[in-house]
Formats: sequence, structure tokens, C-alpha cells
Amino acid sequence: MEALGRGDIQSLESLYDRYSALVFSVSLRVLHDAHLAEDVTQEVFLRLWRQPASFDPDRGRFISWLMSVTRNRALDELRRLSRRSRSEDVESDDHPIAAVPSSDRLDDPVLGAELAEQREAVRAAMTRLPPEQRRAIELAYFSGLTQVEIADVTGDPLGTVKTRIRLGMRKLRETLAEFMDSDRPPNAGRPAKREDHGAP
Amino acid sequence: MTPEEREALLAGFALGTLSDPDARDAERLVRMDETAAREFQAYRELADMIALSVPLRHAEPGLRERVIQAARRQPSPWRQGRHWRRYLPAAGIAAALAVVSFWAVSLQATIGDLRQEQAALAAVVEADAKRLEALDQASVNAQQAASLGIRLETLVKDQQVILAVQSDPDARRTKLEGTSASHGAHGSYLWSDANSAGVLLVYDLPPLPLGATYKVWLEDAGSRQTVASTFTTDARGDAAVALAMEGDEQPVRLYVVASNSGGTDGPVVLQGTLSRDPSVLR
Repeated sequence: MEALGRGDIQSLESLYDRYSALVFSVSLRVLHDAHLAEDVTQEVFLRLWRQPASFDPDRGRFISWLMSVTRNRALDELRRLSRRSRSEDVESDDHPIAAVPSSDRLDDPVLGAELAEQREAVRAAMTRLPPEQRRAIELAYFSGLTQVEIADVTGDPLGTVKTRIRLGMRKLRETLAEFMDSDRPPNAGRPAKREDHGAP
Repeated sequence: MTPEEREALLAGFALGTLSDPDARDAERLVRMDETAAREFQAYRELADMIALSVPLRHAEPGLRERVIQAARRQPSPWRQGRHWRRYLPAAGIAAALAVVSFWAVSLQATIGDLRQEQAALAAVVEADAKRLEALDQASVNAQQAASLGIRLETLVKDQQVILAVQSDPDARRTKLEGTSASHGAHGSYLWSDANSAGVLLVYDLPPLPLGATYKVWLEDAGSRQTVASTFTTDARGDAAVALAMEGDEQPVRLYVVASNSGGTDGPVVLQGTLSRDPSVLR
């Protein structure tokens, strides 16, 4: 990020090579449209280029910030195009996107071993959640639905949705504690993962 | 509130999945309770990790070239600053002069950031002017024309205030602090004694749903709070807002909150303490 701040185009290329697949994948997961996901990906990286100072390392990891920016931009696009419909969300949630081939299993070597390990852990933790808890969390995170909207989509009572999200998030937090700065006790075995600030 | 309800509120808030009333409760809880704030921070970090669960897919290879080419056409503002600095040692400018120059460049950068906003404003003014002309030609409702005229006048005045405050060398600047809901947004508040006016500059604010706006609250020394302005941002999340002051009392606190289409306030996204001591503010 320091090099990016100095206007070094090669640093942008390195950041793109390292993170573009993730940014694109998250955008695609939200938008279900490869062209729109590419637009969001381009916008995210150009924003990084124009405003490198908008990432503040004191407030957290680069990867968290990048994912947050990506998700927000993608959801904004989703809302702008009014493409969110109940039936589409439910359907797409049950049927993974087929249009773009996945290269997932081997992961991307440029992502770095640590981030790959973290991705694997997050995916495993999500997989271990009871399906209804995972679905509620994914509808909230990737479709930007409120709990009330999730209850509408799934046909479950609002209280049930709230409980599923609470239990699911608690379980994820317990499972992923070692990867989180907030929950890692001082002097715990794993060092704080600050390398994700992403300086190429 | 039971521990379970509290946990559900904080986890839901971190996921951004709460309805407006619940989000307000959660925002209040996070603001007033340090333990809750830490819990919320942990859940926010967790929420951002959920993105990592997506199956990895690659964009078409041509996108990389398009991004890099687009970046080359939009030089980083930091790089522009580097060109300027190159001349400093060569010219052998004294340190005091460098401070003054730095201020000038900083001001220039801020004005540069505003250029896009002002261009948008000018487009609105032009569009309104055309509409006004069309209204005149068609001799339609005089009330509508008057309303548009007032709007035009307000826009022009706001633009003048923004430029005047920006170009005042004695304007005092307060950096605004982001909150957990700001997602990297930042900004500052400029107060110009000479113009008796304030300007709010914000960058990277999160996008809002259709119909929602950002609202600026000012609080005076007597803890009285008033809405100074409402605004929306451009596509980059940036905005420059002229703030109206009522009476002689200067504000001591400023809050920017997201407000839904019904006018109900959501979480605070930016805030700042506005000291009146110029040495602190500048």
C-alpha cells in the first residue's frame, strides 16, 4: 500500500494479481452477473489507486477492508439495478453460479499461503454450520437482506431468523477465533496476521 | 435485554441485517457500552471474513489490462504531489517556506477533490436553468418557476460558500473520526471566521439505499442538537456541503448519520469535536 501511495503502477498490478480473483468472486456472488462483477472489480481497484489513504492500517487488516469495500459496492450495484428479487435470491442461493468456471480447489498461489489457509478455514467453518444457519447468514451478507426480508424469503418466523443468525455467528466466531485479531488472546500462539495489508 | 438478545443485536448489526429500529438500538448500545463496542468490533471482523468463503473465480484476462490502462489515465493524486516535491530541494526553499507551500498544496488537493462535486453541482444548475427556461417558454405554473429559481439561487450560494471557505487561508480544519459503521470513510470540517460559514468535506462514505440521505447534526455547548444539512454523495462517496449556522453559537460537536427514506436516523458514520481554539484546529 505504501508503494501504491507513491503512485507506483506496478504496486497496483501486484495488488490486482493477488486480490482480483477474490474481489471478482465476491462481486459475482453478490451480483450473479460476470459483467457487472467485472465492473465492480474495476471500480474497487481504481478506487484503491485514486485513494490509497482510504485504507487505514490502524483500523484493521487490508483484506477485511477490501472485502468490505467490495461487498458494499456490489450491494450498491445490486440495489441500483433493482435486480434483487425474492425468487432470484432464493434460487441463486441454492444453485451455485455456473457461468464462470471455478478454479477454487487448488486456490490461487498468488493469494499467499496464509490467506489461502484462512480462506480454507472460513469455508470449512461455513460448511460445518447447520444449513439453515448458513443460509440465513449468506442471505444477510451476500444478498444484503434484512432479517425481516430473510424471514419473508425463507418463510420462517422473524424470531427464528434472528436466532439462526446469532447461533451461526457465534459458532463461526468460536471456530475462527485464531484468525481474528479481536478474539485472539494476548501472546497466543499464532502471531497477529498483519501481512495482509498487502504491500507487494 | 437478555444476553441472547444483546448478542443477536450486535451480530445482526455487524452483518448489516437489522431493520432500522433495531439498528438504532444497536448503534446506541455500541456507542454507550465499551464491552458492546468490543463485541461488535469482533463480529464486524468476522462478518468481513465471510466474504472469504466464496468459491474462487477469475475475471476474464482482459480486465487486468483495462484496470491498469484506466489507472494510467488517472494518475494517483499522490504521484502528482511527488512531482511538486521534486522542485523543493532544487530550489533550496527554506523550511518555513516549505510549510507554507505544503499548506498551499494541501488546499489545492482539497479543492481538486471538490472539483468533481462542483462539476456535478454545475450540471444540476445548468439542468435547472434549462428547465427554468423551458418553463418560461411554456408559461407554465409560476409557482414551479419560482421554486426552481430559489433552488438555483441556493445552489449557487452554496457553491460560493464552499469556494470562499476553501480559499480562506485562516479557515480552521477539524478532522472527523470514522466509526465502525463508516467503512473507511473520512472527512473534515472547515470553519471560516471571515465568511462566518462552515463546510463539511467527506470522502468514501458508504453507498446508501435509494431515497436515503446523510444528515449532519451539530451540537452546541448547551447540548442542543440541530440538523444543519442533509446530503447525498457522488459515485465515489464524496461530497462537499455548506453548513448553515443558526445564531451566534458555534457548534462543539458534529455528527454525520445515515438517514433512511423516512428520515429516521441510522448509525453515526463520522463525528468530530470542534474546538474553538485555532491552534488546535488548524
